[in-house]
Amino acid sequence: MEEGFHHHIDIPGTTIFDGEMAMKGHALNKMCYSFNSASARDEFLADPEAYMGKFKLNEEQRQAVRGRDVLKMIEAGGNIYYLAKLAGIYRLDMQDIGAQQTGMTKEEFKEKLRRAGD
Amino acid sequence: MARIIGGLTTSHIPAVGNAIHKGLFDDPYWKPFFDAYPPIREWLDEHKPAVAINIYNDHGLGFFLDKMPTFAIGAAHEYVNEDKGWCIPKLDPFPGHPRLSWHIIESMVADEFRHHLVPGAGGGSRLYRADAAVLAGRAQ
Repeated sequence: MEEGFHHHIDIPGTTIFDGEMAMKGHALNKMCYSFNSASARDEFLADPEAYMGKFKLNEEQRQAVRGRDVLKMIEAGGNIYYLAKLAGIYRLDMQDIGAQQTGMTKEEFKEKLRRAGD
Repeated sequence: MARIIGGLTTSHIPAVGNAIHKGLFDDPYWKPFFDAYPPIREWLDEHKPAVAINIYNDHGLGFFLDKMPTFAIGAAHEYVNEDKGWCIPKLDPFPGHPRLSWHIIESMVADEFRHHLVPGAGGGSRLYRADAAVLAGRAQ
C-alpha cells in the first residue's frame, strides 16, 4: 500500500473511494460519466467492447462490466455515482445494487430496509 | 431582509426519480416514503416561500473527478435537468435567482471563503467554487 493516499479510517468490507481508487478507476469512471448523454449510452449498447476500448478500460474493469458486477467495478476503482449510470443502462436500480452488495435477493434487501424503518 | 422559514430534506433523489417514473407510489416498498410527501406539500401551500435554496449532491452530472469542487454555488438564470443516466424523462428547466446567489457568494467572499470560478454546466451559467479545506484552515 502506497503511503500518503489513505487519510481516512478503515471500514472493514467497505471500499472507500479515495485518491488511490480515483487514480485506479479513472478510465472506468470517465466512461460512466459519458453515460449522462443518451447518444453515449446508445453507442455503448451497440458495441460495448469497442466503447470500453475507446475509454481504455483495463481488463479487470472490462470483466466487471461484462459481468454487470457492481462489486467488481468498485474493486476496479469505480465510483458509485458514476457506476449508477452504467447500472441505469441495464435498468438496474439502487435496490439491485444493494442486493449485490449484501449478497441478498432484491426482495430480501428491500425487506431489510423496510424493517429498518419500523 | 430574507427570513429562513424552514428546511425540507429528502433522500436518494435519483432512486426517487426512477420510482416516480415507474409510478411506484403504492408499491409496498415505496409507499411509506411517498406518504411523507403530502404534509410537506400542505406546509408549502400554507407558507408559500418566495425562494427555495436547493442543496444537493451533484451525483456525477455537472462535475467529473478532474474538476470536483467540495462546494459550488450555482448563480444561473435557469437550471437545466438531465436524466443522470437513468433513462427517464427530463424535467423542464426551472428558474434561478442570480441576485440572491450572488449575494450569498459575495457575502461568503467577505467572510473569507476562498473561491474559484469554474464554468457552469448548461444555460451559459457559471458556478462559484468554495474550497472547504481552505475554509477549515481559516477557521482554526
